[in-house]
Amino acid sequence: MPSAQERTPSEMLHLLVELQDLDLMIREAAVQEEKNLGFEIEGVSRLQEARRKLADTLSPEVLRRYERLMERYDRAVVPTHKGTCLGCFMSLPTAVAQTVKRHEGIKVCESCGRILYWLGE
Amino acid sequence: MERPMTDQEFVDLFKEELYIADLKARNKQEVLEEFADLLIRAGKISNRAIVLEMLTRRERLGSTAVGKGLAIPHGRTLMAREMIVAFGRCRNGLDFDAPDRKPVHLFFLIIAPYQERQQRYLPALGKIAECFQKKKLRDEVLKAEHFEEFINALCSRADSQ
Repeated sequence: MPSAQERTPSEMLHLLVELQDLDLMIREAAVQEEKNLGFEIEGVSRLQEARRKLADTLSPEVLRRYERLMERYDRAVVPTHKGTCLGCFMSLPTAVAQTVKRHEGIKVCESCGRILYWLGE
Repeated sequence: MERPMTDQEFVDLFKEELYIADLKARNKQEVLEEFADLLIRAGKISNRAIVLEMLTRRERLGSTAVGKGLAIPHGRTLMAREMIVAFGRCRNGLDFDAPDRKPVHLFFLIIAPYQERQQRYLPALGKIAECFQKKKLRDEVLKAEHFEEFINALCSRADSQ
């Protein structure tokens, strides 16, 4: 497995999305809405272990930024749509929107600071 | 506040492009992979690996099989632009770590964004689990030869309420 330094910016961005999916899954497990619908929820510790391993693959600076954003907003990575950040709904400068589309690295919204991810239009 | 889903809203969740009459999968992981491939082919997601990882992790939290031959693999991911529901049937059934240890024949996949404007994710999960408690509906869906018959079975269930 490549070290955090060896990862491409695109790989780092995808790992952040995986981490966020995982964090929100752990958070939802605690609320127990699914348990109330009849699903077995018994592997939270397995997910926490997976979370620890995944976090270890990120550079400390990127992880710190992600965790700060999660504390502040609940979601650190947000989609963009038609040149707009779907975290704060502010328009992105054209150059930023183009870079986000190419998944060329970790780009943040200049307005709210969230990490941007392009899902396609 | 989430409200219960009406029968018509439930039927409207299903699309022919997201219907698999006969799953080729032979085990749990292959079921998830087959659904991820379907979503890619249908243009519903752009990154197969992230969605597959999310679904696999959700199974580690606890099997999404609910017994009586039914499983509802599901989860929220940034990769979903909107809520997506897919259906797949495995005539012979396969092991999905069901609580009753019975093979699973009917698979309903639900993927949703973290925040969904219409708040249909949990109501859809609940509706599937509730509807398919009835053996008659399970048998009809298992026998359906194509998408239209599948939808007719769901509609006849709604009419019989």
